[in-house]
Amino acid sequence: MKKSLLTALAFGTAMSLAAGIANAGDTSELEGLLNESVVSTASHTQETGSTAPATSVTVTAEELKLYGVINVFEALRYLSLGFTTIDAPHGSDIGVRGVALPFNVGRQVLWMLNGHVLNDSYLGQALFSLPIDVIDHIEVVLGPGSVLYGSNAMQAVVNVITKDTKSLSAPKVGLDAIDGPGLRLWAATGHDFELFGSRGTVVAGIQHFQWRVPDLEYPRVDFGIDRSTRAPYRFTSAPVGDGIWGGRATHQTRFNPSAVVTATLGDFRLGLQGDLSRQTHQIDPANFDEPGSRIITRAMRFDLQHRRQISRIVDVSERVYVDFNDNRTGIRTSRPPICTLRNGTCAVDAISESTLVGLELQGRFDWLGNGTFATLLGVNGSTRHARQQQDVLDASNDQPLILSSTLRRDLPIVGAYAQQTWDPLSWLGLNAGARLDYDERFPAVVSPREAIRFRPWAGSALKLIHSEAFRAPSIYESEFTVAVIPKPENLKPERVRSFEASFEQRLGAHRLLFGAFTTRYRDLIEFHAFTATEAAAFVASGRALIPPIFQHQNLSSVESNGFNGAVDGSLGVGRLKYALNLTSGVTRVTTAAEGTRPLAASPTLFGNAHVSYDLGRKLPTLGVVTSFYSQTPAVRPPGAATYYAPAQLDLRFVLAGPVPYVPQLSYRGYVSYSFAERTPAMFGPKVGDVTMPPILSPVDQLRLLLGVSYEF
Amino acid sequence: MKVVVYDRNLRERAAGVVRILVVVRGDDPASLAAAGNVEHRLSTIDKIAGMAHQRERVVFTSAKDLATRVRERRASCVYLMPGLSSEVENIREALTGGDVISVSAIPEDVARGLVLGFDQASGKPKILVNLTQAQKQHVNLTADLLRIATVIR
Repeated sequence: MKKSLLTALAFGTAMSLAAGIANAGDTSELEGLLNESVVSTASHTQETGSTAPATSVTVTAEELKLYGVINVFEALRYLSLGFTTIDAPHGSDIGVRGVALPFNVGRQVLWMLNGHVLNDSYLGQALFSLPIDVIDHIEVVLGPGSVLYGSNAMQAVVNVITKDTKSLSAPKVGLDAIDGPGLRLWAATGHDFELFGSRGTVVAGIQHFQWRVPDLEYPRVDFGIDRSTRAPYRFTSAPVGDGIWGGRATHQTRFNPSAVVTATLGDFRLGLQGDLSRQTHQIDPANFDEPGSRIITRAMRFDLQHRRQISRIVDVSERVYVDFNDNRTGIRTSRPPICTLRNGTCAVDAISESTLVGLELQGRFDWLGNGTFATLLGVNGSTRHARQQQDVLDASNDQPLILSSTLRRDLPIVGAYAQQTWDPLSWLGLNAGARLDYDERFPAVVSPREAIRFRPWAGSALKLIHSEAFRAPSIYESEFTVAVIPKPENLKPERVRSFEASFEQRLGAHRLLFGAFTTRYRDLIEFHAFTATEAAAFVASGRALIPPIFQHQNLSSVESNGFNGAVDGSLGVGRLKYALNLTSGVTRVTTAAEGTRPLAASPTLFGNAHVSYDLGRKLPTLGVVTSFYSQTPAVRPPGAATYYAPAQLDLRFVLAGPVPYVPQLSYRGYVSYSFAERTPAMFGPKVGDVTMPPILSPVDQLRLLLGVSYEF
Repeated sequence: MKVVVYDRNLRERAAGVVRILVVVRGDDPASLAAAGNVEHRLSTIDKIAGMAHQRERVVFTSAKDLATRVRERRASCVYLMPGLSSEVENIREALTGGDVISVSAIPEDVARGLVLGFDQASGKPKILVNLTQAQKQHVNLTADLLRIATVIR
């Protein structure tokens, strides 16, 4: 739906509230209307958050700027409802409503930029980065969302919307300095133009972020003698090891430029996004704090959309999209069985490349011409081409030690969806839809959603929602194989089913939300670690020539029941703003091997809160933002006892405002402190049959940021 | 219309019935689609600021004809649907000196000379007010409204 139609609806909504105004001197009702989010992600239609067929949250550009947020994951952790992000050596694990699936790196969430999917097309993970200063707002839709979006939308859909030329009417540049040291340099601009008699806009942003992660102290663990070499284990490139893993990590760095361009001309919209990330990669089996172990990811995404209202009732759009991703992981390890050099070090280099080309056609039929009975139909087809190569080399001379393993795969995927909305009465709205996805690796998947919305009285909304979603195995999960990692057999998609009830009440400029949910995940895909007996049986069955170590399998199911609540609003004509988001859930994972137990990295209580006060005129805005979670079971190896990470409380004090006497220059700064020293992400080597002690990833507890920006 | 309530002259102008002209471009599907939505929303409201209301769809022919229609119908509010941006300056001139609040679905039209409009920023609606034009059309908005609106002079 076009923005002009949205503004028409805003006017209509404003009109519909007119009867409730008792006193034209009181603007609290009007402020409430202006505080209400407008979202389009939940149903592909512009609607207010209270009428969307899901629980939705909007994070605004103003909040991102004030609270010193430098990436989308941080925004969700501090400012959204229902999210946890836990920084681990393998990446940021995302938890939604208390469910953080192992080593997920955001795979079970669908990430989008202006509706263009950002999940890596080979791994399915959230490996993207964006210039934060071109973001207008972030729409977060909680719960399964495959009904319109297909794979990966299991836990939530996060859609980043970029600014338009009204918000970026003049060029801006900025610099943030972060302790570590680190820096973030950025520039953004917008421009209006006329071409071929049509109005056009272009918005562009670029950001460069680099950071030397402050030194972190890991416990030193003595793993003793390696029985295969009869020498102490080597966790170092030095020719002789001492069996010790851990100590002070001093080589962790991140280097991360990114850019976004969006342009419109008449009914056309063009989007371009690219990013590069290079960072040290400390995941097992890399040597400890090895500077040569790194991961480099690159992405380029292209999106061209044409949208047109062709009659009073029919609106159609066509979209072509192309993605290029590559991922180069190089680790240095000195340990057998991967590295067979007695005193040397091996380089394990994996390169994956994927190209995705797709076309989406969509039509919306507003049968009555007034928005009360509308059908949305769409079809989305894409094809992916992926290639992976893995080499094991002698790090001293780059001579190959193990024959290269190469994978090539072409994969067509087609999805078709339909959604019917019906608002038979002013206080009643219905939304039902389903999507059918075909992927040749498994039988077709149907993802339904039904939602009903009531407005019992003014300012309220009661919703009941049933939704299902799935995640297709990534090409890496379904196809990758090396000698000790056999190709998966009959890998099924992950599935989720959710029931949700929520109630929202607006009281002037304040909003109260309470919801309860029950969610079941099944066929979750994880690396299965073979026992010696299983490995021997695998070889005996003729499925492998040498005993396997790992294989991707559908291993577990998860049940999560809980509630979420939010209170937010403003006072003093918007000068004081506040929000509190809370989620509590009981989450249990069940596997054939270990029965039922608490799910790791999934706290039972977590949330965030923020409050800010604008002192007005040329004075700064003061704010405090916090993120917290309760004691949380840590990620641990199969069979190990459950170990709990301590409760966490992050506090960030912020200050932002214009520089006196230089109106175009503004500043922001924060001091942030994490009270817990460790995250629930377990880290450390898997060494033969040695049981790994509970090593939790340390936290960079104190962080400072000081930034300036200039508007031309 | 919640915003219109903040016009101190509304009661006097409406004289008991708030008349709203929904102005469309007859050959523009987007204009017609938006009008359908607005009219439906209006149909769900009993009273505006305690007064009865009437709505009428008007197919735009010229700014002069529109001004004439406003006078004939004694309209309190003219709401322009999308597709009329190129006519806004003519409409501004035609309505200057009249007694009516003009509203646009296109945010940019407020700067061009309509009294009131709505925009969206950071995923939230914004109210836009052209105060200069408001005075020229005898629209007297309260200070409370102007404090939360984006005011264009």
